[in-house]
Amino acid sequence: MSGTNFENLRLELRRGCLVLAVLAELRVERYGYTLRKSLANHGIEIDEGTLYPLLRRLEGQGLLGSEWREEEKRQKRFYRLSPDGELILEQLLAEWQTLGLSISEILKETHDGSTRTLLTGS
Amino acid sequence: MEVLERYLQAVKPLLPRDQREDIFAELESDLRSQFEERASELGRSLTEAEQEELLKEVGHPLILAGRYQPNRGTLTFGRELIGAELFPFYQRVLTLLMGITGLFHIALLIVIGALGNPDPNPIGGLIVHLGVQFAIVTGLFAFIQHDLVKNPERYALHGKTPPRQPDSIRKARFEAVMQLIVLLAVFPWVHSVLWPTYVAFPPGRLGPIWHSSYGFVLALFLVDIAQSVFSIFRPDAARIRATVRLTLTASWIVLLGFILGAGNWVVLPHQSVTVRKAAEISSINHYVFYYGLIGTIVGASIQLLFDIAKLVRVSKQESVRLSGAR
Repeated sequence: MSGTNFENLRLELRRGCLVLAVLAELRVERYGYTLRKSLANHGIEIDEGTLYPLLRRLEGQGLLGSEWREEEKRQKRFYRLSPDGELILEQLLAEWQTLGLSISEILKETHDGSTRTLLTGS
Repeated sequence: MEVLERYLQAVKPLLPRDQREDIFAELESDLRSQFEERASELGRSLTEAEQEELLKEVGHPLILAGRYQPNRGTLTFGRELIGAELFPFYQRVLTLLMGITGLFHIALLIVIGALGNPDPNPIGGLIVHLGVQFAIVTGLFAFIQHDLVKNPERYALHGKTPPRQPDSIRKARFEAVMQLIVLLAVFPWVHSVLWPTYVAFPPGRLGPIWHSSYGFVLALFLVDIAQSVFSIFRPDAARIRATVRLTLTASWIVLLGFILGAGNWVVLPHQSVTVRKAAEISSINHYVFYYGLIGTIVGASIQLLFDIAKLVRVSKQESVRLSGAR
């Protein structure tokens, strides 16, 4: 049961981070496959079934632009962050950093509290 | 690349219509790049098993296509019964089924009304039918969803599937879906006619033979529904499908013969009827049911011949393919 709970919570946590990671990776133009590889190289594994619909959703929201172009004798669809996407990425990164700091603060306080409790025995 | 081709052809018809070609082209391009890179790493072309292993990571065609659907709702009663991937298909099947049932019901009411015996509670019957269909379709999809979460491997590609023409797979799957929809639409109506011990058929009532045959009819419907669901997920299993279809047709002929032998399909509601009413019942038995049943048995027998021919053809094709593979 706790395994299922962990998996659900992990997926929930990951979902938001994926958007941020994809937007950040697409500051440089890439097509689906190279984007997936690049994310994997940074430790973020994402399958095609999740990535491509996500790219379409972000494009639909105006955060990405895309164009079909031939590369290595094959038509490929290249994605890149749009001006709106750049703005949103900046805001999301700021939010991410604030959240990270807040969580660290909370953990630090809890850790100090636990240490105090252990030392005083009360 | 035949495995990839089959996979893409399985995904394509399930994609949203307005973006189908675009999504398909992108998936094809990226998956081919992935296959080529893997082949160049290995320094040889990929085996079928290796190709299928790569596609397993992409996901079952139904799940992959489901993620592209604009409607990403879920059905939840306490816990999630139908997830976002299956929900668009669930909604589509339910809408189509209920639409057909509604039209069928209206047509039936018009015919009954024109015959001079209007249904006193037309809406009640429709609501019961829709309720039964909703329960069956929801139960079916909830079962698939449960199984999908529990055994994702079962929904991966079938590694031992022999190569087939994509068109035949698409056709078989489409037929299975349509068959399932028709069965689910017709069954509640059959149930409402055969299950009650007393159904009026003015000026008489349906004889006990109809109620007695209900168990057999139910079994045949359930086998047919199971066969349709199986064919949706395994449209390549042509021989199994042809065998089950032949068995079902033969069983229907036996059942119809049993009903034909019973004779009194419409009986008198009570003893105190006029001679004229008794003559009407006798003429209904003779002209409507006797000839109707004979005609149906003849039709089913012709169908049986087609089923036998199909089973022989499919068996021959599979033998040729297997000997070719060896």
